[in-house]
Amino acid sequence: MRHIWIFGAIWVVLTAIAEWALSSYIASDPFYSVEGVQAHIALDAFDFLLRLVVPVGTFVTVFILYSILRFRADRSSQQDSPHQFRYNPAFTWSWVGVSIALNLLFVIHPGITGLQQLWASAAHAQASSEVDVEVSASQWEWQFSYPQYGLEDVVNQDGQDELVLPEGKTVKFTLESEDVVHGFWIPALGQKKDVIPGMTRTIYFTPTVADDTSHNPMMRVQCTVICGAGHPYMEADVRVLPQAQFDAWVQQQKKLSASGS
Amino acid sequence: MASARISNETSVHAAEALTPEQVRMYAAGFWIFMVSEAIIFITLFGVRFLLAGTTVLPTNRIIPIATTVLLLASGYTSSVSSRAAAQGENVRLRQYVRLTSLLAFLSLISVAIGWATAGLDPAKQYGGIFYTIIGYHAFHELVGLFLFVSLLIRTRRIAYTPQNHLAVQGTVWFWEFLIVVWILAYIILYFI
Amino acid sequence: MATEMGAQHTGEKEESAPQHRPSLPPVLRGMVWGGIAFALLNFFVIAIQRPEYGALVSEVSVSVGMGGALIGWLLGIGGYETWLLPWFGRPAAWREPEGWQRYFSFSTDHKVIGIQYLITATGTFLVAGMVAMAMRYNLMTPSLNLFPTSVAYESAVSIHGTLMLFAVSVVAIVGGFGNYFVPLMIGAKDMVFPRLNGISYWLIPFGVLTILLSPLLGGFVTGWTGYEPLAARSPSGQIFYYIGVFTLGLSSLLTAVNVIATTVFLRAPGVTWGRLPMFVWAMLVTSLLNLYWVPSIGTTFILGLLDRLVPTDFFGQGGLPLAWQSLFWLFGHPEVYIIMLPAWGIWLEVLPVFARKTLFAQRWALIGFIVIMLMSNLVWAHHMFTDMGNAEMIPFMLFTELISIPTGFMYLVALGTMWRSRIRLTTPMILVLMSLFNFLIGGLSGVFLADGPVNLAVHDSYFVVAHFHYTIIGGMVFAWLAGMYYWLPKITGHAINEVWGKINAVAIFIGFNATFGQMFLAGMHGMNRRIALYPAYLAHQNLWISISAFVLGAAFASTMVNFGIAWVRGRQVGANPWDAKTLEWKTASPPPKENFEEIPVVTEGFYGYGNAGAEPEIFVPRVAVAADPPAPPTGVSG
Ligand code: HEM
Ligand SMILES: [Cu+2]
Ligand SMILES: [Cu+2]
Repeated sequence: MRHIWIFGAIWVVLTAIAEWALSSYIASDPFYSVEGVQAHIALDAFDFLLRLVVPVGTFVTVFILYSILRFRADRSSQQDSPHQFRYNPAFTWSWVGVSIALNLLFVIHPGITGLQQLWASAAHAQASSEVDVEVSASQWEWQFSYPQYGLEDVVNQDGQDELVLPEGKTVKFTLESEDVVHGFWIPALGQKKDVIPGMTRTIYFTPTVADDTSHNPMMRVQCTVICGAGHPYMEADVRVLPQAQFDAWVQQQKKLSASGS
Repeated sequence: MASARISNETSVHAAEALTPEQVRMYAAGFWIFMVSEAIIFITLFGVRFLLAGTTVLPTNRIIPIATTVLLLASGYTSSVSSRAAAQGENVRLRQYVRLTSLLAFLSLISVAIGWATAGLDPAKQYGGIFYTIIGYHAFHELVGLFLFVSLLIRTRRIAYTPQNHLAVQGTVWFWEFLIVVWILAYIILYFI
Repeated sequence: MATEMGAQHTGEKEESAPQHRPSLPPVLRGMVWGGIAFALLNFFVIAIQRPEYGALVSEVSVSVGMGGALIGWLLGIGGYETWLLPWFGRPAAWREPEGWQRYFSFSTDHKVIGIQYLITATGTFLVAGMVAMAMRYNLMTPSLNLFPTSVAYESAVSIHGTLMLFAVSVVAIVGGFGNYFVPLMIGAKDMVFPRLNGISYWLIPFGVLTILLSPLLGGFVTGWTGYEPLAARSPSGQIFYYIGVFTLGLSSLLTAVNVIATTVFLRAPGVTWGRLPMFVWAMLVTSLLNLYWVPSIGTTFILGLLDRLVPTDFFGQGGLPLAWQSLFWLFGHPEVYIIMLPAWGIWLEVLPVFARKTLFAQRWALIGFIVIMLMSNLVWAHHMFTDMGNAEMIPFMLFTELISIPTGFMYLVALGTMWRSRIRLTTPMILVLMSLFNFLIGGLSGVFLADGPVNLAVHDSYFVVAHFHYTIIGGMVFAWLAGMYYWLPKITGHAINEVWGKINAVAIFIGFNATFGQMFLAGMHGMNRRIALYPAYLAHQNLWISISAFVLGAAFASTMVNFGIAWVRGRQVGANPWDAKTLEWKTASPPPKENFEEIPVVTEGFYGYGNAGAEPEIFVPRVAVAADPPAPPTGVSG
C-alpha cells in the first residue's frame, strides 16, 4: 500500500509540473504560426489532446522509473520476488475503463466536435460564397484562378504563381490535378487536402492575419504528397491582404490581364 | 539400399509410410497455404468490382464453355486418380493422371484461344481485369499441369500407398481448387 | 507444396544414395544460374519485342528476366538437389556443408535458417541505415548538398523505407527469432516444412538486392507506399520495387505457413494452448496476419506492375488512383501490427525473467493480440484522411482510437508484472524498458494523428515521420536489440559484454529521442516529408536533427561491433544464463542439432516464479485444450 501512495503522489506532482510547463509552452505558441480559423480548430484540438495525454504519459513513465528504483534487486539476493500475483481486478478494470473512456472521449471531443467546427466554417462560406479560388496542380506547379473576377493563373511581378487572399474571409478552394496525386497544404492555415487526378475536391480556409510568405514562411502553399522530381520545389507564395488592398490587387490584375491578352 | 542406382528406371519403391498424425499435419499445412491462394483470387475479384462495377463487355462466350467442360472432366479424372492412389493402385493412378494431364493441357489451350479471341482493350478497366484474372488463373493451371506431369514422372520410381499418397492428394486438391476458382471467375467475368 | 509431403520422405529414404556437393559454392552457383536465366529470358523477350533504337533491355524483358533469375537463384542455391530432383522422384542428393559454410547454402535446420535471417536483417539494417545517414547529411543544409538531384534523394528515401519495412522490421524478429525459437520454445525438433523454410530464407537476399539495385534502372521516387499514378511515371526502378517487395512478401508468407503449422502440430507433450509462451502466441498471430495480407498486397503489386508493363490502367487516370491507396493501406495497417506484435512478444518474454515475477494478467495480453488481429483491417483509411470528406473520417477515427485500447493491454501486463517485482537491470531489460517508453511516445502521438482536424494539419509532415520511427525503431528495433542481448548467448553460447551493452543502449536511447523528438517539432513547423530541400527557416532544426542522427547511427554501429566481439570471443555461458523458464533454456547453448536430448515433457506454465505456483490453465476455452491431440493430459514423465 505504501508503494501505491508514494507512486501516486509522484505521479500527481509530476503531472502537475508537466501540465504547468506545457501551459507556458502552449501559450508561447511554438507549434505553429497559425493564422487562420481552421488552423485554430486543429491547434485547439492539439492542445486539448496534449493536456489529456500528459497524465497517461507520466503514469507509464513514472511507473517504469519507480519500478526500476524501488523494486531493483540488490546484488546479494537473486531470489524471485516474494510478491507474486497474477491478477488484480481493481487495477485491470480501472485500466480498461479509463482507456475506453479516454478513447471514446477523444472521438467525440476533439474529434467529432472539431470536424463539426470545420463544417461550420465551410457552411458559412457555402452560404455566402465570398471568394472562390480554383487551384490547378500539375508536375510541378500550383496555378490559381479567381473565376469570380475572371482572373486566370495569376502571377506576381516576377512571373511566379502567387496566391492572394483577403483577410478575414472564408475562401473556397476547388482543387484539381492534371497528372498525379498532389497535396495542397498551407501550413500556417493548418489544413491540407490531397489533389487526386480525375476528381474535384474542395477545402476552405479563413486567414485571420494579413501576412505573407516572406514574413511567415509557414504562410506558403506546399505540396505534401510525393509527386516526382519537383516535389520539394512545388510551393507557391501566399499573401493575405486586408480587404481594401485585396480589392485593389484584383483591379490591378484585371488590368494586367486585359492588357496582356 | 546402397545399390539403388539413381538412373535405374525400374527400381520402384514405396513412398515412406507416414503416421496418421503426420498426414494430418502435412495436409493442414497444405490448406493453410491454400488460404493465401484463395486470398489472391478474392483480391482480384474485389478489384474487378471496384474498378469495373458489374459491367460485362461482350466477348467470345463459346470458348469458356469448352474450358469449363474440360476442367470439370479433369476434375473428375483427377479425383479418380486420387482414389486410386489411396488404394495403392498405382497403375490406375498413372492412367488417370495421364488423362488428367491431357485434359488440363487441352483446357489451357482453350483458355489461350479464349484469351486471344476475347478482343478487349487491356487499357480499359474491364479488359484489364479480365485479362489479369484469366491470366492469373492460367498461370496457376500451368503450375497444376507441371504438378501432374511431375507426378507422372515420379510414379515411375515411387509407388504410393494407402499410408502415404499425400503428394497425389495435394496435387489433386490444388487442381480442384483451381476448378472452383475458374467457375467463380467464369460467373464473375461473363455473367455479373 | 503438395509434393513436398510425399517427396520429402522418399528423399530421406535414400540417404545412402550418392550425394555430391555442387562443383561451385552454392551462393556462387545460384548467382551464375540466376544470371544465365536472366540473360536468356531477357534476350528472348527483346528478340520478340524488338524495341526501337536497338535497346538491349526493356521493362518487360527485365521483369521476365527477374522471374527467371529468381528461379535460377533458388535452384542454384540448393533447390535443384533438394526440390527439383525429388520432385521428379530422384533422391535428394544434397549434402549440407559443415561449419560456417552451412550459413551460405540451402539449409533445412531451423537454427541455421534463423541465424541466416538474423544476419541478413542486420546487414540490411546497416545498409539502409547508411542510406538514412546519407539522407540526413543531405538535409543538414536547405539545399542539395550530397545527392546530385532531387530524384536521387527521393530514391534514397524510397530504398531506405522499403528495405527497413519489408526486409528488416517484418523479417528480423519473425524470420530470425521466430525460426530459431518457436520450435525450441514449444519443444519441437524443427519446423513442419524444413525445406520450405530453407527456400523461404533465400528469397530474402534476392529481394534485398533487387531493391538495392533499383538505381541501375533510375531508382524510384514513390517512397515505400508506391502511390499511383506517380508509380506509373516513376523511373524504371519502380519495377524493382514491385518485384523486390513481392519476393520479400513471398518469404514472409512461407514462413507464416510454417509457423502456424508448427505451433499447431509440433508442441511437445504438455505445451498446451494455455501454456504457450507469449512470444509463440505473438508469432502465431503475426503469421495469421501475414497469411491474410501478404497475398493481398502481392496481388496489388502485380496489378501495379501490369500497369507499367502492358500497360493496363487500373490505377491511372482512367482507373482509380484511390483504389491503390485503399488496397495498399488495407495491407499497410495490418503491416504495422505485423511489425509490433513480435516486439510485444519479446517484451512479455523478457520482463518476467528479469523482474523475477510471474506475468501479470497474461490473459489480457492474449486478448489484446487477438482483438488487434481482428481489428487491424478496420483502420486503414486513417492514412487517407486527406483524401476523404469529413464525414467519412468519423468511423475510422473511432476504430483507430478503439484499437489503442487492446494495444494498451500490453502496458497493463508489462506494468503489472513490474510492480513489486525484483528487477535485474540487465541490458535486455533496459532495452525493453526503453522500448516501452519509446512506443508510448509513438502511441500517444498516434492519438493526435487519429484526430481528424489535427491529422489534416500534420499529415504527410515530419510529425508523421517522427511518429512511425517512434513506433518502428522505438518499439520494434529496441525490442529486437533486447532480443539479441537476451537470446544471442543461447544462439552462440557466448555472453555479450554487459558494460558495453548498457553504454550502447543509453547512447541509442539518447540519439534516438534527440533525432526523432525534434522531428515532431519540424513537422509542426511546416516541414513536409520526402523532400531533399526545404525552406531556409527550417535549417537550424534540421542541422540538429542530423547531428543527433549521426550519434544514433554511431551507437547502432557500436552495438553491432559489441555483438560481433561477443560472437567471436565472448565468455562461454551455460544452458540458462538468465535463469529463465521457457523451454529454449532447458537445452545446451548453442542447442544440439535436434534441439533436445529428448523431447521435453511440460507439466506447468512458463511464468511461475517464486511462490506463484503452477500456471492456471484459464485462458483458452477448455475445448481447444481438449481437442489438442499431441498433448496427452497425463503426459508426466521423469
Ligand atoms: C538509423 C536511424 C534512422 C534515421 C536517421 C532515419 C531517417 C529517416 C529519414 C530522414 C526519412 C525520410 C523521411 C521523409 O522525408 O519522408 C526516413 C524515412 C523512413 N524511414 Fe527511417 N531512419 C532511420 C531508421 C529507420 C528504421 C530502423 C526504420 C524501420 C525499421 C525506418 C523506416 C523508415 C520508413 C518506412 C520511412 C519512410 C520512407 C518513405 O517515405 O517512403 N527508418 N527515415
Ligand atoms: Cu508533391
Ligand atoms: Cu495505419
